[in-house]
Amino acid sequence: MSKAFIAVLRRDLLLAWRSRADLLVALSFFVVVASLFPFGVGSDPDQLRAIGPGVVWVAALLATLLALPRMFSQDFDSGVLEQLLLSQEPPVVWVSAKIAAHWLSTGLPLVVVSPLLALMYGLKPSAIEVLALALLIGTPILSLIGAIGAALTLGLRGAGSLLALLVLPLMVPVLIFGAGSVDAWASGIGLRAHLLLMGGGLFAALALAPFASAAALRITMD
Amino acid sequence: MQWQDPGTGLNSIAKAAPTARQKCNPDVVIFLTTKRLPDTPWRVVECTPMLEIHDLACLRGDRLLFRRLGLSVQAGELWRIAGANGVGKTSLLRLLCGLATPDEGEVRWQRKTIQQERESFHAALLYLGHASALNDLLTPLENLHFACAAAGDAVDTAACSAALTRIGLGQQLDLPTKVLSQGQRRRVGLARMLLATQRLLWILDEPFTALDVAAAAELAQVIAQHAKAGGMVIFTSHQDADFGMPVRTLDVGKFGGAFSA
Repeated sequence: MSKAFIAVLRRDLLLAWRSRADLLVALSFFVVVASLFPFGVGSDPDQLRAIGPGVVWVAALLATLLALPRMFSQDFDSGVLEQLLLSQEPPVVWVSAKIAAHWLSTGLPLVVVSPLLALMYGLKPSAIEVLALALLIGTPILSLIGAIGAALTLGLRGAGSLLALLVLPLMVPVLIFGAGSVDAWASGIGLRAHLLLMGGGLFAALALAPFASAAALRITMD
Repeated sequence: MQWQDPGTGLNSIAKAAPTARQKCNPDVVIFLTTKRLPDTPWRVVECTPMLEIHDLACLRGDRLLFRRLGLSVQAGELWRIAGANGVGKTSLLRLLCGLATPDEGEVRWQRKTIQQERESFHAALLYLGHASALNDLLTPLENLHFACAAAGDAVDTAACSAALTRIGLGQQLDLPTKVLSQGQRRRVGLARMLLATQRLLWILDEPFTALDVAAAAELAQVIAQHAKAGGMVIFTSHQDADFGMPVRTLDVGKFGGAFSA
């Protein structure tokens, strides 16, 4: 591992810890959005069980989106990004570190809390495991795709809403296969196809998104 | 090519060169040679400029900031970029670092464009911009240590705290940066310079802003020391400072756009 990768990862995790109130906001948002649905669609247990995985996924997606603008904006304002671009190491190294830190501080907590929400929707324990596993594979993809959008909208007015418009359509496949995996498992089709597709998506995003974000950052900083 | 009298000694460039050369990567081009010409007491000194700018132009929106700007910087030189506000000093410095791409012309480091030589150029470059590059939630020590590590320098915490103590932030090592004053934030940048003496080229944007008299004098001394040791410093400043050595000036205003819309 390179020096810059470790330095950026450590610093971003330390910063996430120092500003943990911000992270709690995204996490509470996740819980609140997921809890709203029963009020809207009624409290029929079968219906709730059916929509549960989808609701948790959509809430996770929105919560990720809420935290995305913070990935680069603070460092952009303070001039740290300029310094990072002038590092000896190629930008893709530290961009990867920033994405990793972002996922660890926002995506992973969502995965950890999701079983609680699934329980609220009356999902069976085994379905809860499937949902958490799908989120574990899917949320890194959301962070990776989101990083490209966050880099492209850096420093723009109304960056947050523009970011949502840019990246939400790209996140639809993740949502389809993520939420679909629980249904597929419950209907006896088996998980394999869904998880393999998501795994493939994760590797593709891992290979491409850091390069795309680094290129986008170079353009926005020019 | 310039002629020099050995009696009066070589100028600071020549004196500085061995040090500069030692500090470079051994595979880099040797940029200075001296040889005695036959039958004369003269020596010829050939200098290959380390940093060259050719025919640089910069547009901001549809306004031409400057064009046909050329400059060549040799080891041991101190350059002040002068010009009124808004004339494009910061834009020029960003072009020199490679943070921005020129609309025309190119910047060369050791005869290759800085895009080709990205890694070795960035290894030899220290850029301190307008923004302090400090995070408010981290302590000065954490900020400085991160700045060194992210740039690729192996500097340990002890060296960082020694540098901060030397520039007068010994009491503030463990305080969050947000409680520091503007001048104290600038001093963290000064500490970064103390830890980056192995980097040949320093590009400093308004380094004297917000510094008190003592700190400004110390900064001038650090800059002059770096140049005397064979480094190069390019900076913008509106203040006059005593470096105790000649400072060359480039007035960006002279290259001002003739066709500003």
